Amino acid sequence: MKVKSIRDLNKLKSEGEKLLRPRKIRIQVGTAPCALSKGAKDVMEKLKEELEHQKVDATIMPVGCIGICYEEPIVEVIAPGKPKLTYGRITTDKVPSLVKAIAKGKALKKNVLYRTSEEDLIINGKTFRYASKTPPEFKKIPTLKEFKFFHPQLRVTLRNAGLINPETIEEYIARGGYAAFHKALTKMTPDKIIEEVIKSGLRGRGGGGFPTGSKWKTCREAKGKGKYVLCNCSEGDPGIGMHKSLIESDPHSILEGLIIGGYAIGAKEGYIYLHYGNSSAKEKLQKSINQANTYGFLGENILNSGFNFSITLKEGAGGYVCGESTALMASLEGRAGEPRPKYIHTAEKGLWDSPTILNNVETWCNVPPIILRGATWYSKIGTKGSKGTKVISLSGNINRSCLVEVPMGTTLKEIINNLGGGVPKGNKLKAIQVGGPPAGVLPAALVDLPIDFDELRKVGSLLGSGGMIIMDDKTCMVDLAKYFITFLEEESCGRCVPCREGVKRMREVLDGISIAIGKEEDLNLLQQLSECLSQASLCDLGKSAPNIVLSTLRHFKEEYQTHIEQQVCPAKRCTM
Amino acid sequence: MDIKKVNEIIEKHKAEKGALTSILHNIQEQEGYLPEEALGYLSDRLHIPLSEIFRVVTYFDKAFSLEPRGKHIIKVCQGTTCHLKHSDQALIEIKEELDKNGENGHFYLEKVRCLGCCAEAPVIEIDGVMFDKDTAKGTIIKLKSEK
Repeated sequence: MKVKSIRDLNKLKSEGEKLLRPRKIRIQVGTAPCALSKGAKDVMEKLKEELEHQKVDATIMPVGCIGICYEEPIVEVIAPGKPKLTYGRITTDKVPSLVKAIAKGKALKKNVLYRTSEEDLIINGKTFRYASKTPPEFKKIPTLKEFKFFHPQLRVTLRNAGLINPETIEEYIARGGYAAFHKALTKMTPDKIIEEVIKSGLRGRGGGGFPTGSKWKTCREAKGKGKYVLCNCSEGDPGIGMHKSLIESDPHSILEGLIIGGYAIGAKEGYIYLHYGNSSAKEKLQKSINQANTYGFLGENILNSGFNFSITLKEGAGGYVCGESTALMASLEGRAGEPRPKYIHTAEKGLWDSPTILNNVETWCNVPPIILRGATWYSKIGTKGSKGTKVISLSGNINRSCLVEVPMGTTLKEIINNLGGGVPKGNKLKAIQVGGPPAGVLPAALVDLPIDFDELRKVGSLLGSGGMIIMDDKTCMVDLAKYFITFLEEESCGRCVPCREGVKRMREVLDGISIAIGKEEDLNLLQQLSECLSQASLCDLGKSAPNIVLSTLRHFKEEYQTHIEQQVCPAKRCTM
Repeated sequence: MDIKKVNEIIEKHKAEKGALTSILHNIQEQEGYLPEEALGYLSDRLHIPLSEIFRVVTYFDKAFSLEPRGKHIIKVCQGTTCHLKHSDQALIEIKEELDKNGENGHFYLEKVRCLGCCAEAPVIEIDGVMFDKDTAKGTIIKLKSEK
């Protein structure tokens, strides 16, 4: 069936609602990477076995990542007419008692985290109701609103993550999906869409924070045959798991964003650039594209609007440097992924020399809510210069690793303490890395800084892609700088001399300091090399490579000096 | 490598622009590496100089290999969080486990940056399944006894 009208869409919506609010018990198991590493697959097998054994009629549904990684494996139970119950740490040995509780219509008290009678649908401002009444035996369980983990959060991008089966388009539609797509194609002109995105204040979530709307405008106005929209799904930063989670939890939100973007700039083709070797994300994305084709969200004359659009999934082959726009495009063209000088922006001459828009997963996922609820609504979230929310994957020396989404302006301290539960007992917070290697590190003293593009840039850091890593006092800053520079040395493509040779020399100097043969003049040398790299490198990888060295030198200079003068590593990490 | 298979792969990507990388991925998936004769044949069929194909293959030397890799692929994550949680030590221990009693030709060990599972750091992936350090070692012992 091809969807041609709002009636067709509503039909799919009610089919999806029947799946999400089924007549028989539905058990949802989180199957994102962190759940799988905790044995979610075995849990599913065991559930199947136990349901059969105890003769309970229920369907098991794999869902994505709800973000509470520290409670994995997470299982949710939806029984008809009752609030949804969310359980944490359901390992295989807990499954028999869980099924027993399900059979009796009760809750497994030890593991239940919260109950949900209704969920707010961020995308359209409505609510999704599971049950209107709460049985007395459930009353003692905290509600979703009482569960503290979600208090500081506003899940715009992660609106469906962990709540739907990512492989079923109807469930996505049931939660307000593809309504923005319908609105854009039937009620809005491309210029109006671009105006709305500009007004919303959305800035690119990939790293630089470039205003998305004005980039789209340049591309729409650029002359050239066959424009393209691209989605960068290739995670390059060491330490960010979130794109993987987003793709695996809610692939249709990426597609919906891309289609709207394609319509707005006048592109006929879209590409999703995925990191190689990520077979489960690849499968899910391809399946979603096929579903969108079947229902006519992609293809010819979409919604009778005369708009034709296709999306192709391409597997990349490279690492960090392929996150750079021109390198990514070279790789998409089937060439070696090297960057080129950007005298001409890719919005004018990008993929196959055609005007091209490249945004990352998170940016694309922000587009449907902006279109559906409007720029005025969106721009009320966040700060003056940074609108909306930011997805943060929090890990490192922290009590609770998790994937969260907070309004811009939330402070680092709130994230670390309220969401991450602070650093493990007995240790002290030492430093924070907000957004991958180019962000450098921030000392614990700056913990009151907000998540904000401009505020972070002022202190020489970057919001980047939001892989936030917390370091305690057992972390050695020289070792950390050495670690990142070694990473960048491996990832440098070798095209320009400052990056290829400079990063190598920096690594050698840092190596020396970490094995107690550092000299006093080394710190000056590092400073000089840093300046050279940031000014003379071809692309942003080289330009930002010294940031980790510069920031550790700025905030933790005495640690370098102790290594050099006393040949001692205060954190006892370097082998001196 | 069977030329028929290469033809099938080329056919599959016929309509795709810039299909070289996709074709290479497919060959690598099927054969476990990129046999030289397959690359020569590709060069003829796609009218791309062999030198350019080699350039792409060697540029992306982590994704592509010109030599067969082991039957079991072990990836030890060296992402930032894993590094903070001593993934360098994990790498040494995994290597030791592999080298025990010799014969580790079945295994291909590689360092990777971020498997996206930072909550469980340090993580190790064996044949696509994620493990923590101790269960990974157990799995290696099991795989060794299976061969």
